[in-house]
Amino acid sequence: MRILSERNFSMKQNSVSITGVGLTSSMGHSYDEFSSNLFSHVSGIERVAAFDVTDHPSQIASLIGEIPCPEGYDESEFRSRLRIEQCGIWCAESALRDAGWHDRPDGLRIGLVLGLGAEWMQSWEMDYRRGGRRAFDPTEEPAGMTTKVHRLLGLRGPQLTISAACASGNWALSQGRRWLELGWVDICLAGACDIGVTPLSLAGFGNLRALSRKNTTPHAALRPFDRERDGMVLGEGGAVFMLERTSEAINRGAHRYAEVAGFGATSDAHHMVIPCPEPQQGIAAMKQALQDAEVTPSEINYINAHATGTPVGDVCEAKILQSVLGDSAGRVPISSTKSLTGHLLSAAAAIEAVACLATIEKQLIPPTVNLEDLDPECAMLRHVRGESEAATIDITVSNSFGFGGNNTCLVLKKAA
Amino acid sequence: MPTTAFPYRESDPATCSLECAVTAYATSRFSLEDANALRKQSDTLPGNLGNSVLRHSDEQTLAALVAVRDAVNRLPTPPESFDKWGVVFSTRYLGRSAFAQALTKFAVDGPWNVSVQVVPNRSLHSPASMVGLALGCHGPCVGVGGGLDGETDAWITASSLLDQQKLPGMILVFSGWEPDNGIDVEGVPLAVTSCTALVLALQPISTPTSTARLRIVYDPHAPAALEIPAKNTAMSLFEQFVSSGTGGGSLTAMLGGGLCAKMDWSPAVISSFPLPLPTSAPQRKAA
Repeated sequence: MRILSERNFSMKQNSVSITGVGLTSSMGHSYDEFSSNLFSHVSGIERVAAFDVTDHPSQIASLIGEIPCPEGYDESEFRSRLRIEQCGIWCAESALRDAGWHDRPDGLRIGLVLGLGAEWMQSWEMDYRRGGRRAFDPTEEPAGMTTKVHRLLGLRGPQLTISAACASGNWALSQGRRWLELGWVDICLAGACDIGVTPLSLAGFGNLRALSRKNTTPHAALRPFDRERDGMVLGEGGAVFMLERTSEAINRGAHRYAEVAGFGATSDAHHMVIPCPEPQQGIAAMKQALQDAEVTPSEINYINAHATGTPVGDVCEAKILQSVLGDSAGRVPISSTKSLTGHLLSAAAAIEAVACLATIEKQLIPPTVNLEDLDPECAMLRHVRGESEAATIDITVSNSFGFGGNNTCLVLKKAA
Repeated sequence: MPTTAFPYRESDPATCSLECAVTAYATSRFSLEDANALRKQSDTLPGNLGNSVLRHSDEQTLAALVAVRDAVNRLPTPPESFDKWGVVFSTRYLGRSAFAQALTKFAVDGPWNVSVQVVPNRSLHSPASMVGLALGCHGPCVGVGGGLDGETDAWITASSLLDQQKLPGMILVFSGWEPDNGIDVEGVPLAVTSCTALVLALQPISTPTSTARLRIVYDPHAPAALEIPAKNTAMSLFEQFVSSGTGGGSLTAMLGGGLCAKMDWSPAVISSFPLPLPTSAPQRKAA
């Protein structure tokens, strides 16, 4: 076992830890279920049956089915809500309970930061499909989802909806951490949700040629870094985390999943859809995050790549990783858990942060499934494929890039 | 078992306040027809992104680009580039008109005719990315809010990012249709409405020649929750403020969670308001 220097485990004065997790995905509705399926390589990708996909170019997705109703909630009222709202309520309530804050003192300032990239379009479409007119009359539904969750959970801190496309989840964690540092909140819920598998969304992404058309082999369709990759597979779900100051979490004896140690973000300013072929801004985001976490590339134990399985994007990220890792490029294990979860769009970074927490807890690295014929342009990296690998994992890095040229990187450290 | 007997403390208002300079601002206001005309005037907008790009942009993005152009032209010390700057953009019901059209079209034509431009240009991040693209910003470019209650998000995010990331500047944008009317199945407003954008250039307090200040302060007596939609929007507050006279003044917006945004303005800044809006008859004719 590698022994890390004291510097890596010395707690920053403003250190922030994750003390609770709530999630829903095609691979489970709880941290334990998700973790078990992650390391068993159980893919949630299947043919879409929730609506007619006969004429869609891509007909597969990673679907969550029925979202559980939180304990103590009125089931019929919960089911009357749009699925995007159900997703946010379930994830936030589950994170509160997991952290032991379901019963809490009056006056506790709990913040809420949610990454939501297309909340209104999804709400309008879901409402329209059940006969509503919210898209045509904004007075029918003035409050956004973050406000609804904030009210329903009786939170008293500030709230924020933030989007950097597929990087939104990393942004939410960063802002939650920042609010704790500033003293704006006592504790903070932060995460992201996306119910992006709708008829219009599947058609829009499909027509954009961003989605895999391997419709007859759903489990084998999403193939990050593989020579045969032909696009991503949409997924839906979300994850919300409870963030607390580490010193206070320790004082109350809370379970700490990990420390949110570093974050970096840049923008390409290149194109609204196409990733920038020059890797400089992606490199800069990763370097910012590593510097923030006081981690060197050689100290990274695992990288959860953004790798969506698109021909252009995976090569761009490989160049970024090669540049940042330098001499460690052939040593640091890398995988893309999107090959199992699908691409959760705004919620992708959040669910991948859960994968990093599971990696740290189990000391196991999940593989990129379907990576059978490695693209030579991505071959300079140390890919984990086939089976999960046991390793000493203290520091994980998760890249999330998004439409509009958003680049983010999140560093999580094992709780000391 | 962890305890929930949390010894939380009241935050010290002095230590959790943020302050920055408002070095320039501008507004724009357009009808739907004006916005469509703007799509053919790329060369008048920052970055000259090309008419083919603007063709697919949302009206709120277009209104913002005009206001961004005017705001950066008013910067007292224009930077050599906006390379390190960031963008925080609060939209309201972005793309509702285009999406309503898409819903109607999908019901008739099916999936193959769904535009590939809806997702990239009408998602919450899109306008921020477009402004970042126009100015060449490589700092963070994020969308916030999204609904009527979203403008509070912009204040706290812009100020905290400016401070956290040590940026030389931040473009803060608010946009929306005023008033927000109903639309028909083709996405056409059922009553007269204007697409409006307000842009503030925020810079660290050390920036010289700035007389306006924005502060985010924690006030234990400020409300934790805010009513929607009773809360005034930032833009309506702003207009109320600038119409109050030229002697300077202050603007306070409650942000929820005990946070407030406070702006103090000097007469010098106010004197340049209102901006000549490019919706005058001759300009419309030229468009």
